[in-house]
Amino acid sequence: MFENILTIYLKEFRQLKRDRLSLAAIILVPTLMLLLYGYALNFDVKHVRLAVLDESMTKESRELQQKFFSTEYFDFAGFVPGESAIDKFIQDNKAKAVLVIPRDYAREVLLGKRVDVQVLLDGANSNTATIIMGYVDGVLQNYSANLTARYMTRKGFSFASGGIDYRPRVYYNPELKSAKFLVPGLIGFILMILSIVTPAISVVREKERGTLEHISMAPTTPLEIILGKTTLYFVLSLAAAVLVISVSFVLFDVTVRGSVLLLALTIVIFLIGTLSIGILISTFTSSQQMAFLVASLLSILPTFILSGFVFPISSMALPLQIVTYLLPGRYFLAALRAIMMKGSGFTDIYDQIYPLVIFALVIPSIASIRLSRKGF
Amino acid sequence: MSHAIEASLLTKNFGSFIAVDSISFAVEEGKVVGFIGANGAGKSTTIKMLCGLTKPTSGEAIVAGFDVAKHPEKVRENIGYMSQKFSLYSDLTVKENIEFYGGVYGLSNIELRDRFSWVMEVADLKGRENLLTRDLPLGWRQRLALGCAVLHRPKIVFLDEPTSGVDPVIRNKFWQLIGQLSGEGATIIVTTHHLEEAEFCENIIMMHLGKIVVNGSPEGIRRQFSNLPLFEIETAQPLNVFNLVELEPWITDAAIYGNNVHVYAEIEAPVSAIEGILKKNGIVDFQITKASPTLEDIFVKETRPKTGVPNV
Ligand SMILES: Nc1ncnc2c1ncn2[C@@H]1O[C@H](COP(=O)(O)OP(=O)(O)OP(=O)(O)O)[C@@H](O)[C@H]1O
Ligand SMILES: [Mg+2]
Repeated sequence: MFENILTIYLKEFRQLKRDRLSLAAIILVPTLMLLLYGYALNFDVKHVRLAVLDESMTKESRELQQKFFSTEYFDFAGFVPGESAIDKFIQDNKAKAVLVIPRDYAREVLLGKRVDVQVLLDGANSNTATIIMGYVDGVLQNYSANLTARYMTRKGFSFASGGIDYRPRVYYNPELKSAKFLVPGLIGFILMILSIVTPAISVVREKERGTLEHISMAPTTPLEIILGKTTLYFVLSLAAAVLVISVSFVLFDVTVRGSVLLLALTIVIFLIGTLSIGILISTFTSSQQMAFLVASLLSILPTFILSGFVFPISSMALPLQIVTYLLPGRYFLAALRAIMMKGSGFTDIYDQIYPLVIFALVIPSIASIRLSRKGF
Repeated sequence: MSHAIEASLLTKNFGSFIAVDSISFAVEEGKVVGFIGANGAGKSTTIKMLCGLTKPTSGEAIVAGFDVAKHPEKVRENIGYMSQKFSLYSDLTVKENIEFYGGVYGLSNIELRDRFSWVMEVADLKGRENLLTRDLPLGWRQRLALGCAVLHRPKIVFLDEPTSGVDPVIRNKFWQLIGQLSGEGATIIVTTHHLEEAEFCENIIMMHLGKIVVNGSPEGIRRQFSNLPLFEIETAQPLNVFNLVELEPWITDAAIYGNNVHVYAEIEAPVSAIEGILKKNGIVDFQITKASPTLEDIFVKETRPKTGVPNV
C-alpha cells in the first residue's frame, strides 16, 4: 500500500519538476496576487469625503474630528449647518459620509460614559459603505474604548427613519491595514486553486492520455493512486500557504497572532475537503478543459465572490448569504482571519471548524464511494 | 491444450450502436493470435472487455482461467496490456517509466533491476536510459511500451495496434520482440490493420462491423477459401484489362497487382467468359490462371457488403 502510494507520488513529483510552466505558476501566482492585491488593487477606499455636524462644539469634539482627519482615510468636506442639511449634503455628493457629534458629547466623555457618535453614509455602494464603517470603527477604537458609532445608511432619497445599522467593530484590524485583511483570503483562494483545480486536471490528463487506463490494469488501487497524487498537491498547498504568509510578513508586516499549530490544523482540515472535491470533479469529467471549467466554477468563482474574500458576506443579499453557508471557503476564511488577526483560540473558532470537519468527512466519502462504484 | 481465453457471445453496445456483436472464440495457450479488422471493427472494444476495462453488455469471457466479470483482479495479475493510445509518460525518462510501471505492478527491487535490463536489451534502448520518452523515435517508444506492459511477466499479453504508424523495418523488429515473448511461453493477442502482419500470427481472427468473419490459422483459412472464383490475368496492359472487366456485372471485384489483374468472376465457366470479353476488345496477349487467394483477398471478400453490388 505505502509503496504504491510512494510510486505514484514520486512519478507525479518528477513530472511536476519537469513541468516548468506549472511549477512557475504555482510559485508565481500566489506571490503575484499578493503583490497585486497588496499594492496596486488596493481595496482601501482612501480620502473619503467626510462632513461634520458638530453639535457639541467643544475642545473634545474638535479633538475627535482631528483624529479622523489626521488619517489618510478621511478628507474634511465641510461643516453641515444643521440636521436638516445632512440629506442634501450627501445627495449633492458634497460628502460620502457625515459625522454627527451629539450635543452632550464632551460631558459624557468626561464622565467616562459610553458615547455614541452617529455616522450617516451614502449606502449606494454597500461595499464602500462597509469599508468606511470599518475606518470609522478603527479611528474610534484607537481613540477611546468608550466610543462607538451608530450608522445610518441612505439607500434611496433619504435616510430611512428606522435604518439604524449596528455593525460590529473592525477591532481585529485596528490599524486598518487591508493587506492584513486580505492575506487570509488570499491563502484561501490559492489553496482552492492548488487543491481543487490542479489535482482534478492531473487525473483527467492521465485519462486523456490513456495512462490511467494502464495504471488501472496494475494491482495498484484507485485509492492508492489518489493518495499518491493528492499527497503532492497537499504538500504544495502547504508550501504555498507558508510562502504567502512569509511574503506578506516581509512586505506588509502581517503576523500570525494566534497559534501557528491551530492555523496549520485548520488548513489541513480544509485541504482534506478541497482535495476531495478536486478528485470528485475528475471522476465525472473526461477532458482537461472540462475539468478546469468545472473546478473553477465550483471553487475559484464562489470563493472569490461568496466567501467574504472580496465582498463582505454581511452586505450580501439574503439568498446569497444562505448560499455561502454551503461553501467551505466561508468558514475557512473566517477561521483564518480570526487566527491570524485576532489571535483566536480553538474555542473561539469552533463554529468555523466544525463545518470544515463535516466537509472533510463528507466529500472524501462521496468521492471514494463514486470511485469504488465507477472507477475514474 | 487448454485455453488461455474463452469468449462466448461477447457483446458490447454503446447506446443503440452495437460495437461488438455476440462474438465467440477461444485462444489456445501459447499462441500468437492476430485480430484483423478495419477502423471501427470492434477490435479495441473486444480487447478491453477481455482485460476487464470495459464491461460487456452481455456474454462472458474467461481469461487465464478466471471469469473477467467475477474476478477481474485475478485476470489482471495474469495479463499485460498495451493500449492503442501511447501509454507511457512522455515527460518521464525511459528509466523513470520503467521504474514507475515496475512500482505499480509491485515488483521487488531485485525483480525490477532484472526486468529493467531485460527491457533495455529487448527494446534496444541501452544508453538511452535517461532520455525523455517524448524524445524517442516512435518505434523505440512502442517497444518500451511493450516492455512496460510485460514487466510483471504476464501469461497473456494484449497488444492493441502496437505497430500502427511505424515503418515496415521497425514493424519487423517489433514482431521479433513479440516472437521472443511468445518463445518465453506467453499467449499473445495483437490487433492490426496490416494484413501482411497476419503471416506472423499462428491464428487470425478477422473482424468486421463487430462480428468475427473468419477465424483460423493462415494456412487453414487459405485452404478453406481455396475454391473462391479468383483468377489472375497476366497481361502487358493491366490497366486496359482492369477497365474492361470491371464493367461486367459478374466480376464482383477486381484489383491490379503489378502486371496482374485479380478478379472475382462469379459466373459459370469464368475462364472462357473472361477470354470472351478481352478478345472481343482486341486484347490477345494475356494468360488466365486460377489464383489461390491471399489473406487480403479473403479479408476483402468477407468484409464486402453482401448485396451483390461490386465494391471497387
Ligand atoms: N466509448 C464509446 N462510445 C461510443 N462508441 C464507441 C466507444 N468506443 C468505441 N465505440 C465505437 O465502437 C466501434 C468499435 O470501436 P473499436 O475501437 O473497438 O474499433 P477498432 O476495431 O479498435 O478500430 P480502430 O482500428 O480504429 O482502433 C467504433 O465504431 C467506435 O466508434
Ligand atoms: Mg482500436
